[in-house]
Amino acid sequence: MVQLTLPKGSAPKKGKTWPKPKGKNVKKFKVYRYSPEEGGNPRWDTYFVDTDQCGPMILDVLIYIKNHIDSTLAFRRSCREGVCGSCAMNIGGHNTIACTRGWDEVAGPHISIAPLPSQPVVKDLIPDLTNFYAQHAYVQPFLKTDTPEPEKEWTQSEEDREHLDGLYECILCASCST
Amino acid sequence: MHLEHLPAETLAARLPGISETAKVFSGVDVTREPIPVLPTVHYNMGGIPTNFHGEVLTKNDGDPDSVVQGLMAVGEAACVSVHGANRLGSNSLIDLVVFGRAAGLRCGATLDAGASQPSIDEKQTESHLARFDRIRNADGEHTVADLRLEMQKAMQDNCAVFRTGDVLDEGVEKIEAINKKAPSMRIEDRGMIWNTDLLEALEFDNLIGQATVTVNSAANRKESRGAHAREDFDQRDDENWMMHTLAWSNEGGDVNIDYRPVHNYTMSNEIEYIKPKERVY
Repeated sequence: MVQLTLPKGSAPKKGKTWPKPKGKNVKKFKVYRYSPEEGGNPRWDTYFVDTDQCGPMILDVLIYIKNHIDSTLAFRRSCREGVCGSCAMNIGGHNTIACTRGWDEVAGPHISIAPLPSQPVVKDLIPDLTNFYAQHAYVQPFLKTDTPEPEKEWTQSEEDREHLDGLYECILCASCST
Repeated sequence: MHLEHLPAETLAARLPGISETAKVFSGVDVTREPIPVLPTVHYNMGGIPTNFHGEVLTKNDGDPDSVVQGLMAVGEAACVSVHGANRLGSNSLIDLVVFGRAAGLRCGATLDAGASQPSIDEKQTESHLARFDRIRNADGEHTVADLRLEMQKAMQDNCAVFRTGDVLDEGVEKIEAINKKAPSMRIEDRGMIWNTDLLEALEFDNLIGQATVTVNSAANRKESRGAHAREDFDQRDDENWMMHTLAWSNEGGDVNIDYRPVHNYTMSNEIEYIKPKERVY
């Protein structure tokens, strides 16, 4: 069997454990941290969040941590409604976008949150997507036609439009990259 | 919002995105139940005044259309004054398709690619770098998250669409108080790579300036017009208020207000000026 090992310096070590607040519904989150400026191996920091104090999604948890516990945590986010693809990460072992994954949907005693695997990590939960974008551009993901350019505009029938179902919904979140 | 009177097939075909969002965030099946709706900020109307080329305008020696050489603004940052017309389709269509393109064409027409640029006087860049440094090393008592939340609450409570002079004046005071706290802001991350703590602090610094001019301009305008619906002045007053507000704010949050006239002519003989009129429902 092939032995898969992480490159030197990339195995996460145990990191800081932040204080546990009081509350009935406190959940434990292990978050991957890496600082390019401090160097050294990445680490798993442990945060406890009172889920009664924050919204229903993993992104709400991350924003709660950034606003109330540790503002140095870096992650990408923009629309927080599942349309922009910025907050893709690995949550509880699955690649997904953090804004539509509820913390109550992830089983286990704690929830792990890590950057998308198989991409270089820029910082904390932020992967370098340069290669992903290059590959995306390489496949030329747009419609091509053999028919001559019309004088005014292309028209599309409802049937033609239906051919696109299942192909156009991609939000470029890169969750499919592993 | 009720959609359940529409056939399920129509909803699936025409509104798949809204149907999914309602399910994910509210647990609502749009074919059976209404969607809960809350007001939020969708777009900031107004902005840096520009002409139709995207060139920034200021008032200079009484000339309200004086171009600030070399400075351009487009999109949500800019105000070409297409106002509500821009909101159709919910995606800044006119800002992007018409004025974004116009700004690009203007750059092409006024700049030479690869031309050498005069060196910038250090005095001019010093204040920008000083601002960056001040915020990157901010070590005061208030977190950015706390200041931002206080600003958000003040704007939501005191600068919503329906407003009165009392509510707006209170908003002016609240925003002034936040401006006073802003210099003692604190961030934790001092890094120079993907420092989102710093990024959010810089965003807050931009937003508090915008909140300051917005609430002061609103308190100053004693009439109702579009999204500025004053219950104490519920009529539109073209005689006194058919003009744009210009507002300047300094770093401390002091605001100066002036005005520029509304252009009431077209630039072509092909179409006549269309007089704005009160919107009725």
